[in-house]
Amino acid sequence: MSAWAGLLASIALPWIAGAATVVALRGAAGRHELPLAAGYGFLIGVLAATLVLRAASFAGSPWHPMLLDAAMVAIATIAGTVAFRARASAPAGDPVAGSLAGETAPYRWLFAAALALLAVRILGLAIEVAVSPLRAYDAWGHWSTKARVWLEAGRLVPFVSGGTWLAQGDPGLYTDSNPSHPGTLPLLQVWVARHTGGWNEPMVNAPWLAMVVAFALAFYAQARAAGARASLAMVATWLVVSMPVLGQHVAQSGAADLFMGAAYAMAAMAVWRWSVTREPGMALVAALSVAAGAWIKIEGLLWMATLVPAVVVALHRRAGLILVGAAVAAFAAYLALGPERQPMLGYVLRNRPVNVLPTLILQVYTLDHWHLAAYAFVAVAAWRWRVLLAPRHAPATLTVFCALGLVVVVFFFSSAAFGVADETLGNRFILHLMPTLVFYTLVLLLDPGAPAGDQPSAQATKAADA
Amino acid sequence: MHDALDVPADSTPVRFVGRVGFHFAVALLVAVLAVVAWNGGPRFSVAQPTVEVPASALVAVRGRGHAEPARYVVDAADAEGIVLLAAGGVSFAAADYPRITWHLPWDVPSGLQVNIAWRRRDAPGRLYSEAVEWSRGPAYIDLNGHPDWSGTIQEISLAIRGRIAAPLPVGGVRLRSAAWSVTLVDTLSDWRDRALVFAPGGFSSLDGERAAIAPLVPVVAGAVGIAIAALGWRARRRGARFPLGAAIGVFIAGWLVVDLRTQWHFARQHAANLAIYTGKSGDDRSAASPDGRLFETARKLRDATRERPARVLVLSDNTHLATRIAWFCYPENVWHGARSNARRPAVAPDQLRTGDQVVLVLYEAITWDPARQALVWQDGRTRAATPILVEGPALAMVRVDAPR
Repeated sequence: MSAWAGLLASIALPWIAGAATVVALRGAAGRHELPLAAGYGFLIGVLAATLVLRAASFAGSPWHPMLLDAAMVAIATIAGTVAFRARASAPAGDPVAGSLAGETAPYRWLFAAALALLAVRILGLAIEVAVSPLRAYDAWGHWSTKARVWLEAGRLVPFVSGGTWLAQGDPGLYTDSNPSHPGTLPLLQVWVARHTGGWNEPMVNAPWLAMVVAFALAFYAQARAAGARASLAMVATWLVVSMPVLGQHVAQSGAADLFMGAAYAMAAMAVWRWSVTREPGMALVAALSVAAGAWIKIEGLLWMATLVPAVVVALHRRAGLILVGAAVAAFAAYLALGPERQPMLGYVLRNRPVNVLPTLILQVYTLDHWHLAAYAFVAVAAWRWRVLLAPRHAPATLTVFCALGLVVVVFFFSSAAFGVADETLGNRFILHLMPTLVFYTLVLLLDPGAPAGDQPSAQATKAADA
Repeated sequence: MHDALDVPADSTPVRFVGRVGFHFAVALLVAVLAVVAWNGGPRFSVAQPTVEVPASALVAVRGRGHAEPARYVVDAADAEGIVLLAAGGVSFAAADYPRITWHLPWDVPSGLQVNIAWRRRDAPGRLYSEAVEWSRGPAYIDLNGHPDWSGTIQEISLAIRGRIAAPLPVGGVRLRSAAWSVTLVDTLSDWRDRALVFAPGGFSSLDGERAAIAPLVPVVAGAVGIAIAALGWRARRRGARFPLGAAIGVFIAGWLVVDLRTQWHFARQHAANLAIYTGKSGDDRSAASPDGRLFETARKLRDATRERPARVLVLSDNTHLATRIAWFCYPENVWHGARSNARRPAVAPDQLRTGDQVVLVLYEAITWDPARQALVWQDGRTRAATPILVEGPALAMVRVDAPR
């Protein structure tokens, strides 16, 4: 198998297996099957592929491409069979042409223009990914380090802290700048490298390009499901993908922040949609997205935890609000009574703030890092303030409230404040959140005060809340 | 779909787009004029928009340096770690030329602090100064409105504090007028040129507008706000519903303006990188990257004749340098001395095992002593070792021997 064919297989097989899984999980529900399945399929396929590598390593089996591919084919076959039995084998999809058929010519032109802008951006990033060596500092420090070692060893070998490495002197132990991060993305690079015949830097970067394409598909599908007409959904997709920092993280592949941001947004979109529709299939898609996100970075657990209030408030409004209130009270109590320094999930909490607001404003509102996204979020949230806690929006609002709270805690009240102040951390962490904020802004903007399109009924939420 | 987002029934698509475009264009014009009015000086125009002070006019008042054609090269700071370069013999009205650019190089040691200093004709014995937010490349400061930047300037200086590890070339200073016409031209130039710092072989930094007169994004956001307010005001006067569709159109127009600029910069970056990396593979690609010199050093270490497998310890006072050199040594069993400093060595003699390979790159806390064939700690402790690769005091790779 040539390297290029191997690369194609390494990306396509998990993607197809993941997409088939999404179709199987969702059954015949929804009209927008194809972009949704393709979008979430890659994220879930990545999770599956890396789990296969973990399982093989645990079982002492070699990471032979044929074996790895056989596992993916098996997942795709099983999922495809389930989907077929659920009469969903031929996704009616959101056939783009069909959606556009009902649009007038100006909207079709708007759709085409946004798609063209999106394609130009992704094509440019594809050139960058295809030719460049690994350039992301974090990749050199603690992501691709693990990939190179595991690829060479042909199995997972332990990474320990530098202190442990020095103290134990065991040649079987390895270390890097951050040995405690999950191994999902390094394993994804191993997955590609095993298919392409070895470590090949442009090729091991390919999943970053695939991720942005998958995210665009998922965003488009969820925007459509939230009630946006095809042209507006495509414009919104172009907006989110065109944010410069996001593009920078694709071009300089190798760090985890693009995957973290995409996974969090995809999980949030699925949870919010489930909170309104109560589709079991969407709940499963959300759960798998949460699992993928939690295994990308240590911070993944924190981000995914911000979705818990959304689920709780969807099931029982008062309980959800109490949960968030309790979290706020607990943090206030820590500030008043807690220890000056408290280690937590890789950070050190501090009970006295560091003022990083000028840096934050510079990075979010002044320099061209996020285009106009942050302005739009503030303006639309302020304009729609009356509906923020309406049953239809409460899950999303609580998620965003908790996520912004997480940003405040990490930026102002943790050891990360110094990384924000010297501008090495801020944008990376904001990238985890910004795609979700863009979708939230879109959902608020679409709020018509009454259901529209195939927007799931708010009655389900109200009924559950009653 | 939502009616509120649609083209109104009483409008055609062309009229709708025209209305959106007109409101946004007028609002952008208003915003630009506001920027010029806010940042401009007292004059509308000046005969000489730029004052150039060449490097040949510079003299090292503190520290040492020498003049070369078109640049002044700083060789060393004084005993207090300060360099002061002064350009005397200038004479201009401070209010007319508040935007100052010192031409400093991109490749500079980290940790330098830069101040701009000046003397006024009305107080020649007093040296005024202001800190410049700077890390590398041209140092820019806008003293428009600074209380001490007034009267007639007769000397302008650059103060540098820090360790000058290598000769530092300074290319003179440029002063730009704050006249409204010049401010307008400079604002537009900033938007075109400053947004992204072009990095052949790397990828554009997005922080270039830090030193701009007025970064584009807040200006466009202001224009979008003005246009939407105008649309809302018109609708209200007519008793009509808020034109949400038009407001979204204005927002998209604003986004398009900033994104087209980004796309243009990205396209230049992609084209440059395509030219740099196409046809290269593996090491050649790394050698062609912006870290090519660093890679060449790492390659010597990686390819040196030595025992494998072995534990490799990379030590440097510069964490980034250690991280990057360590990366090129993977998949060997590498450790690097991140989060350490010279006062507190990252590793103690007894933590090294026989057979470990230690790389010292610009590291002060431990040195290689070829005479004693030992690694030497600053407190006098030693550990016997055998050299693998030694290139002066800056770079050494040794194999740790059994304690003698």
